Amino acid sequence: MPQLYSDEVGQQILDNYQEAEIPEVHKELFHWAELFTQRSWDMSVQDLQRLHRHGLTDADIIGWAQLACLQTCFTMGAEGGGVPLDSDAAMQPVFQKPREFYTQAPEGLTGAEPKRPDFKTSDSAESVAWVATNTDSAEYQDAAAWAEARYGFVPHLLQALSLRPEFFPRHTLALELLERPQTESLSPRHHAMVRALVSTLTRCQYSADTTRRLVASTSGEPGLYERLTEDYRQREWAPVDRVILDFATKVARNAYKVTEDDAQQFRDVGLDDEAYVDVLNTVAIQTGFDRLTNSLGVRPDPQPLLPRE
Amino acid sequence: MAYIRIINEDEAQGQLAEDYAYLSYSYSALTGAEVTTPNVYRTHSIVPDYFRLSTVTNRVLTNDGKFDRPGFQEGPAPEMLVNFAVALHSSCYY
Repeated sequence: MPQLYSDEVGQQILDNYQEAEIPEVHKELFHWAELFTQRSWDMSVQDLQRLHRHGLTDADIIGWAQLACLQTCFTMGAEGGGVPLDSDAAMQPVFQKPREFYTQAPEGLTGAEPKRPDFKTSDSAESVAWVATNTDSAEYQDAAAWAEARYGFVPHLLQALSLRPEFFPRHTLALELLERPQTESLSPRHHAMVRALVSTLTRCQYSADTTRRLVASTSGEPGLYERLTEDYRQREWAPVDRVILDFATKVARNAYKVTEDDAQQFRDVGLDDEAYVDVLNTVAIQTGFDRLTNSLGVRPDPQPLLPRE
Repeated sequence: MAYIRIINEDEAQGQLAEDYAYLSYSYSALTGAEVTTPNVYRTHSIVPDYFRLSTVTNRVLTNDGKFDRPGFQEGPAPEMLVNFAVALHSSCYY
């Protein structure tokens, strides 16, 4: 992998990328990634137009959004497992700070409280997203056929990404994994609760109807969705519910603060490590897609994104 | 020590073993020397379906381990910067 910057410039970026001696378009990329990562719900079509003025195309931006979605999953998985790097030949901590620097940091280094009290409202009423589409490619057609068979329609998400379809094999697999828990250790009810909570934290309008329907169908509990999405922290929950919801919130907002104690809390309420990994990945995948759709202004689908019965 | 139980290469079977082998191949191509699968992937090893997602992600990012996807390392704003920028703004230890 080539080194793009000298060590000196790299340090400038870590200190304050806005002041670093790098091309303006790189600063725009860092700014866009900051929005994507920390408050995607505030992103608007003006953020894309700002990139256009720097010569970037819709295809460039869609590529960035998908990479950022993938990297979101990767970082959450990395933080959540607490795996050591001592013997790792291929990867080392880039930022040269010990794990304790992050786990002992105050809340809010990333994923601060949303500024908006309500869900993001898309202003792409006449199109599927803020970006152009092209549905001619073979990769798109394959994904569209898969979606038609699975959901009975092609979700706006796939249409919005159609200019850059090379990531579709990953996205279709991720969407399948999101449909239900992947272990017997996590109940469908808890899995649905995690999805709904995450989409509330990301203020993602695109996922709201899907997660609401999923909670209703898996739990059969009237009012559960509202209890989850209207500040669950103020409500009474069973201990196992509380552990799962608090962990999901921590991963979605501040994954860097996850410690071994979080895994132990799962065990203390009778959950195993498989359930922990299931929740961790559900949060990571849902967060990645939510930020992706927020960043591109993807309009909600006309029906929930759930597999046909 | 990881926070949770993991399954390493020597215990992996079936699809999980194949995914470990692919990731080792991919990162060996990246580093130019034979290396094992990076530890960050191992979090998912006890639920192989999620490990599989990580493998598929690597495949689409690297064009099946060839690292020749257009735009990733080239152009006025190389896409590899996005990975770095997201990690930076996520305060990611890795």
